Amino acid sequence: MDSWSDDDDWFYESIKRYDLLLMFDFSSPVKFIEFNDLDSVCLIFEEENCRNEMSCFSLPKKLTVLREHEGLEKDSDFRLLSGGFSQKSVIQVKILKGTNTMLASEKDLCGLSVYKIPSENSGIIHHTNTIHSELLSPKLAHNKLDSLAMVDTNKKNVVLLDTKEFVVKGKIKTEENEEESVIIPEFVSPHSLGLCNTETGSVSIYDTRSARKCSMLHSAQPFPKTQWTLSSSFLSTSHIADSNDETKLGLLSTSGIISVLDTRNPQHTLSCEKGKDICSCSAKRNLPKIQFCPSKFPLLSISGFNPNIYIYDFSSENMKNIFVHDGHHRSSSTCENITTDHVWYKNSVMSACDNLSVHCWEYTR
Amino acid sequence: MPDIKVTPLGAGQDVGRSCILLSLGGKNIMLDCGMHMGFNDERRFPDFTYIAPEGPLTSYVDCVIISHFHLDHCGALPYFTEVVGYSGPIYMTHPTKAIAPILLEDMRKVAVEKKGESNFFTSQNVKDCMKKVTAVTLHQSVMVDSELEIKAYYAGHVLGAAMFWIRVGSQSVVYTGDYNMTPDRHLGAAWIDKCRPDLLISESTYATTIRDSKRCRERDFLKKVHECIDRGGKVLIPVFALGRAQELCILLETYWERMNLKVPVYFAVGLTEKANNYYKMFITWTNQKIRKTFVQRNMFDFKHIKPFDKAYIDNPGAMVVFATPGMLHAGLSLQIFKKWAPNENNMVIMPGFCVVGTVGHKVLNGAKKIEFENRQVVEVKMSVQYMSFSAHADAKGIMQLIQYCEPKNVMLVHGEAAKMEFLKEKIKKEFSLDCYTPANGETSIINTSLCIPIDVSLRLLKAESMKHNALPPDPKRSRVMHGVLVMKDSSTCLMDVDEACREAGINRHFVRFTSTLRMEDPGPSSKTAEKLLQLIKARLKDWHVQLTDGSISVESVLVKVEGNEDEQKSVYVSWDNQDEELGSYILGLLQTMGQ
Repeated sequence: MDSWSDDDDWFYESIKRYDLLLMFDFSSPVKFIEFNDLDSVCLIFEEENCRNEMSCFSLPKKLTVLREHEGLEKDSDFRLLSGGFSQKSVIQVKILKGTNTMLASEKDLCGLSVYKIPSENSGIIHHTNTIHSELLSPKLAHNKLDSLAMVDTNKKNVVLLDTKEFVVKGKIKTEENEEESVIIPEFVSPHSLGLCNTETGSVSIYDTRSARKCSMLHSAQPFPKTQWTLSSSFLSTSHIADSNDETKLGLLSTSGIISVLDTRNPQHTLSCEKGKDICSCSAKRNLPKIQFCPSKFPLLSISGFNPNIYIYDFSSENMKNIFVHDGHHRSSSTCENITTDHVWYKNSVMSACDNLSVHCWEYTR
Repeated sequence: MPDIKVTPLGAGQDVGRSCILLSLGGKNIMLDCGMHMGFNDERRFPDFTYIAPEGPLTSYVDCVIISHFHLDHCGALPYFTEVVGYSGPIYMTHPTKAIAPILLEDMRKVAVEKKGESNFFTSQNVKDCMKKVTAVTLHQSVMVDSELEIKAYYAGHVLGAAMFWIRVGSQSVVYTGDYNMTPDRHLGAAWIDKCRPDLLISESTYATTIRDSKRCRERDFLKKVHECIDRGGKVLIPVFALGRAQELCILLETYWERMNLKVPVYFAVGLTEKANNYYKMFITWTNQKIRKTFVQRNMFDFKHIKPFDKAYIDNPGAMVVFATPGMLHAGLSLQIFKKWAPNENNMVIMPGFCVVGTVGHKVLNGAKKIEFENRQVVEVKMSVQYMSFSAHADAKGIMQLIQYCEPKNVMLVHGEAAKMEFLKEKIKKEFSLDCYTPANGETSIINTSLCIPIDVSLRLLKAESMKHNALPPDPKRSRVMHGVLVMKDSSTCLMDVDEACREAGINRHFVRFTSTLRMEDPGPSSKTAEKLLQLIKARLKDWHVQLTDGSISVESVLVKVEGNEDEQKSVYVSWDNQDEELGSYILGLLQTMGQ
């Protein structure tokens, strides 16, 4: 019998490569993926007419159930729980877990828009109010507890918002003085906020309780014409209550350099690698993304250079690429597509690409 | 405004028995007549009391249309005809008419023999019901009566599934039943032309779902089968004779060939024959690839899949078997299950829904021990896998269908209400269409604009065109066309007056109006006429105004001034009825001047 499709080979190979593989096509590219709780996820889509569609879906049961019960579960679909549209073009979102509240930094907005994700059957995510501040379209970081850091990327001021009362509880005047640099924040522990200079890759750690700088970390080596982004293992391991691994910081450059640093020992780079087959991504696009695996394995993932997601083992000084998810390329007729976001869910990864595809996958270890 | 009324009797905001009562142009149509497989009491049937409080329902329902053979769409039909007493026309496609009675009989057997129900329709009821059915062909226009027209379109989903276009007068509705916008291995994708119905009634089972790709579900199936046979286990796949069985066979055959696997795969005898017969009979309903292959050889004559013999049940080593029935409630699949269940290396893959009470339902709920009538207890140690291969349109597919057929309104049925609020908003935002989601028993009234098609005579069109220098009509700037509406027999035509008079066999008469004004203007009347001429010319720049023999003329409007030099002038204004507007304007103008 003739084969039905040239894609068959990739899917037959995937039977050995993946323990789990779910592929979805949406009608618009997904811009951001944010978990609402353990069973649901919010997808923010690319803007249309200066507004973004925001939809909350229940996760496929095949993804959420324990592997030993997976066979009895036939549900492998995303189910829409609620949806809505943003007021303006969304720059970044953070969901306050357990409160059904989404905070969005939007274009040309001084402050944040607050959206309510309905828990009952009303179906509509609606804008409830705006938290005004002097920060224009700020970058956000959440410590998973009660603090949201808002950073004006140009003025380098940091405002700390109490996410229970929605009041400002502190401000940090940073020491950044390079006018051209852009700052992005990320919490490295509940009370330690890292501010990454995207031009140099250096990260200043501030104690949010005293508003004072504690330490500074540098990326392994500076590179011209590159930009840096960061992530901390603290963010990933918050899903797992008993993890002690809260001290790693991952830095990723637009030229594909990956560094893993220990915040307790800032002078020592744990692991470093120049991603092979990764071409520098254009600065005009969004910064690439780096994420730590939430499980006990020393794994991290990067995306944003092409349609692939790369997984690295950083247990030794020379980081090793152990898996490449190239499934988004199967959905695309060109190689020019780029992944837009990816997040870990237990041992699986959820990834989105600008060719409208969203995948949930777990590679075979 | 003429309305369309829709009342779901089932499948309004729920998934289960689909049964929708549609009223348009004075006709009542029942769309599907399904049974809810989750209930054992009267809730399994649609509530027919919504149709009429009393009396024979045949008087109230002009026809019944069945979209496909799944029981949640046709399961209550024998009850509706043989117990409730409907005896009017019933329409469905040829494959549906051939296959529906098989499923109805299967269901009847399970209900009566397995569940011990006594108050159920009989085998004879099923046969008598099907005798009342008229089968329709795709794209064939069927006049149910002189006013009600229906047409079937390909829906994909299962063999014989159709979407129906229904028209009465100038109002039309499209009902989708269950459909699928992506082709699969043996059926094509749904298709409909840009028919622009007043209302699209779409199934929305998966409206709020983004479905995992079919390739991934197939991959999962192949992975599970391969893992089982790799450890020497046996795989049992209980199937219904038609539908997913063919799909899965084609899938396995392709995989076995590609991976050069030697493990035997079997298909229960009788299953193949029945399936082949039906697919041969309805080859035009399959997709292009199947049709092409069937011309060369029998599509279901596989290289790696062979007929099964009961003696093979005890054969050692790995194998894969497709066997009926699909819910493990009787027959060969149950026999095989009893033998293989105690071995943890083996696997059963359930590809479809299982009714409560069946062995299939029990194993899907995790039962580890099953007791049978003869007190035989079977331990279930084999791996149980539940997979869905059903082909329904998801949110993206529904938006695609709306784009195809361009309805003026949308109604979503056969889905869960609460989650459809956002989908309604999306439809409104993207297409600017009103979207309805009525519950069972709730009537939605859809206003439609009255649209009466009218012919226009060529002569009138030419005259109108000449007035505008042969420029075509501009949708943004309307042009008024005057004519006489002539209704003759069943046609309505706009024609010019002379044509209409000839048509009616009457002479044309002209009516002329005259009005007299008094004006104080000393001097000769010719000078007054001159002044009036200048005034009229200034106001009617685009008109041909002239003074001839002391009378001002514009089209048929004449203005004549009389009176001596010292006397008050009399201004006579007259016009034909055709120039009523112009004449009134000029009269008003002169009256103002006179004042």
